[in-house]
Amino acid sequence: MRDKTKVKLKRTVTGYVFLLPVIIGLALFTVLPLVKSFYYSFTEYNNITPPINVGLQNYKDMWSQMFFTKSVINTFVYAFISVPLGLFCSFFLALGLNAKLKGIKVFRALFYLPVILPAVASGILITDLFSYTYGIYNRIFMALGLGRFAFFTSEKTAMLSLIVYSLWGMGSSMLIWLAGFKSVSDTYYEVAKIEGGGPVWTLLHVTVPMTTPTIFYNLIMGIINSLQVFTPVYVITSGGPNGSTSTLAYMIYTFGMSYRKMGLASAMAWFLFVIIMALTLFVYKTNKWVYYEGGKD
Amino acid sequence: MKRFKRIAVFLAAVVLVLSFAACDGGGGLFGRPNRKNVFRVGISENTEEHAMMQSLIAGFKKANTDVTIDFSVESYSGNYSDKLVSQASSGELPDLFFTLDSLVGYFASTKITVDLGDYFTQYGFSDDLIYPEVAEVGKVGDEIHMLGREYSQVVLYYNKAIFDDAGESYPSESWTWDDMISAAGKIAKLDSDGTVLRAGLDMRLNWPVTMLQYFEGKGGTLFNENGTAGQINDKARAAYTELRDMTKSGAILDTFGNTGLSFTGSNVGMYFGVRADAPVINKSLASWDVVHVPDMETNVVALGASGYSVSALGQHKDLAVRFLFYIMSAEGQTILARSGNVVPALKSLADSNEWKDYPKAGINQNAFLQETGVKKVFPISTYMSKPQNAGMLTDALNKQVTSPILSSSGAISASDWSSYETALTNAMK
Amino acid sequence: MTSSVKRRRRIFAATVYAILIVGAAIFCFPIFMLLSRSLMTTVESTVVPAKFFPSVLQWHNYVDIFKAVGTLEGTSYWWLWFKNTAVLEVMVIAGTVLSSVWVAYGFTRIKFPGRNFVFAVVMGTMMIPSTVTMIPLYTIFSDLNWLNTLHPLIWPMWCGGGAVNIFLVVQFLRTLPRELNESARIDGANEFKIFFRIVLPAAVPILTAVGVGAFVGVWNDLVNPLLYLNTKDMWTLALGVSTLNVNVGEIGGIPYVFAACTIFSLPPIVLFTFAQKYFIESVVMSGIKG
Repeated sequence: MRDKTKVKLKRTVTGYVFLLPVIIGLALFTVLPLVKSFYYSFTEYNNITPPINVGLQNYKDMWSQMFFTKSVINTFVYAFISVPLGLFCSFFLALGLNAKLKGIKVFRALFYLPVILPAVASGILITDLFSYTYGIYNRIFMALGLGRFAFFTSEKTAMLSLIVYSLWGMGSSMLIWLAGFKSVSDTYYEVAKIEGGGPVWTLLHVTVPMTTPTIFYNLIMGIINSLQVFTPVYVITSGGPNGSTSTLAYMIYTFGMSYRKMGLASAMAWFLFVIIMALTLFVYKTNKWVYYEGGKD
Repeated sequence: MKRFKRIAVFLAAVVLVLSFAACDGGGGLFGRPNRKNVFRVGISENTEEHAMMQSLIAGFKKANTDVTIDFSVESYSGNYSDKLVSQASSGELPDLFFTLDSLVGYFASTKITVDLGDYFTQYGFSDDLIYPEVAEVGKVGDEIHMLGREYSQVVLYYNKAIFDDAGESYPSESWTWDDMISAAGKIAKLDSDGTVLRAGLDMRLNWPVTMLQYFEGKGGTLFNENGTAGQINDKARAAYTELRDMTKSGAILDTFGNTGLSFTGSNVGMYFGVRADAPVINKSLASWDVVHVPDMETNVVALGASGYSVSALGQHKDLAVRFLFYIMSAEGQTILARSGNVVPALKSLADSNEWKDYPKAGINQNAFLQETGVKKVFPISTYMSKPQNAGMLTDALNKQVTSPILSSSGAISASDWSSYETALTNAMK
Repeated sequence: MTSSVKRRRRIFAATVYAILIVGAAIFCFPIFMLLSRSLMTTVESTVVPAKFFPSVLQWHNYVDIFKAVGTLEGTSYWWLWFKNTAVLEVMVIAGTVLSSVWVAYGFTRIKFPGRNFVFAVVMGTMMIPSTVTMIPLYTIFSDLNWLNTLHPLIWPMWCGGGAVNIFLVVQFLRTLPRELNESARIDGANEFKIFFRIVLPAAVPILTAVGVGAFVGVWNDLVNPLLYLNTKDMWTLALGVSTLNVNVGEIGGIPYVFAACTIFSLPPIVLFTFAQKYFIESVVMSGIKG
């Protein structure tokens, strides 16, 4: 008897020794900041003088702050349009790149190339190419007789341009689709052929349903990530014009680090956090449409 | 024993890497090594500033041979105010640092700068020695938290080559504002679809300094008397609409339009700048000159001053104060002048060739000196009841007021104006 | 195979190729412009209508850009930025690889109470937006006196390397046969020995993928250096390059900025060409969640 518990104890201790780094990391870099930011959201704080308690004032004030409401809307528009659109487009791209043709690997690499280009470099590049006066795209449009397009200089088109820019990176979703396609066992396709189904039918009734786990995961992660979009906004548009590309992450950074209103920024951050949690829970609860081979785990 | 060997190797590797990390002292591989016995000076990133500060340090040490401590010059670029505030919040402000006028109120209210007024008699310094406006800018209440090092007013730079190309005569000291605007209109070049290819004047519409100057000159207001709320009066509204029309015609550069046009890029004819812009302009343009800002309805010029403050939390407060007053002395100010960046704050050096020969001889240097009978307009923070919100107010003014107005067309409704005023008010709270 | 089927196949192939070529051209056009405009003169880059290609290739732009950013007491900032980025890469890759496999081992090969709970919590952190922890982390690092140093960018990566990496390695380790473990355990070896002798070597493929991912992550990271590195001499390459666009006039013009961007983009692209397999593996494995 004693031996058994001794072994178990030893194993537990060993286990936790292995988990030590991640537990320390969790405590210091996740839990502690979470608690702190929750606390700050009820204060007025600039990191120089001690925090002053203001209760729920921040949560009320943030709605009247510059572009906050706009940022909330923009963030959701961006996430809910760019992610599904990206997944949709990259799905068809992946279908094309799944063809068993010679040299297809070269094409895959070419489509993935924009993803490897550092975001800083591509941001600067796009700012110049989309420039109203000097941009190469406007030159092309002018040559085609379409006239100049405002891209990032008009509030009506800025968000659209940002979304189009995000599509340039569909290479990574494409790779995931490709892997998903490969994981669909060939027997399904054989059955489909026997049943006499054409390519479109196979697509709708075999490929899509079998890759729903992939869709599901990527939709969630994609939305969570794009709800926090920051770098393109910082590098290209600075939230303009007139707040049309201002996102929550950009607002939080600006209010926290530039204006030093850290209490307000923390309140904004918690607002975003609660929304993401609610969304995630919602998608999880309604995942009946996901087909897991071999039952759900 | 064998298993210990493997573990030992692994652990040794980890320890090696970690000690490599902990070993900070040797050159500060991971960041600035612990600087207790170094005197730190913070400046704005700029090659001329570096060289100038080195000369100042050399001069100071020569005149004060008892000072043997190491001086280390740190520079921040990008958004200098952001960086300074970030340093302040981590308690890492240099002992002596270059301050912008807009930050004086903020630093004073958070008590991180020293009240220099206490040291005036000790160092034989008084406000009379410098221009009164410069003395004003560093004051908060009756405490002095920054000593302005330069006299800096907005001037009109112009690109001679562009004026030649457009067949226009150069700006002169006798020009009025309307003369300037009409010349700007003639210099502008538009593409077939109305896109501006060359603009007349870069008035820097995102710089509150020139904007305030413009509105004051037209008799307009942007805030109320006590700096607590936005109040755009009729004259300011008319001025804004006029501004918008001028950007459409190319007379004035639309700073918010992502046009890629710039004065230093040789596609704008005129530019509102300060003395500190001269070296860069000289590097970028072959032929240029400068005049005073032309007269408006109300004769105004925008004035600012940057200078140095002493960190109240630093280790070397007394030395910092001593160094600062050296910078403000005739010798220090002369060194400053030679850098070409500044017009010294000391009135006694007003006619000195030390600064008048830089960055290029033969320029209308008198444009940098104050004229009489001109109303002075100070940095935006001086008009606010909460100067620490200056950054927020600037952003609000640019992004929520000026930018939307410039992209609008037709008449601006009363409700639009009041929403602009609300935006300003919210930023000033 | 009938000739009509063959013909249909060929038409199909031709159409797919055609579409892919057009698509790839559209996708790679901006990169072509990056290279092309980096070799123009400043005047050529501001001409209207914009030029597609320079008349004379200005190779010297790539040399001139090195002088353009200025020096700190004689050392070019480029060198300082590169040094910072290199130090960061070494420390972060080491930390991510070592700690992710260490932690993943704890999650997969040993059964002990509380293990699944901790795992669920770690996975849950993927849902936490970084914006929520950004500001308090800043204050924590500020209290530790770590601002304007590389420490805030390094040590968090030694705590497992992030939930995604832990997940990747865990998935991989789960594919290793249990027998490896069991036979060694029967022989009387303890967990540590199994880790070093058996699991660690076997995990090299996934760890290479993790390492590659970590390299690219650090190289491209803008947010963290932006938050924590104040003075120009402490910047990383990413942060330095991002500031070039702000004062284009001083740098000399768009071609110089583009030349810098091209140089900056080379290492990830080169790495990709040689390590394609690992890139794809890490992307794919994080995407396929059963």
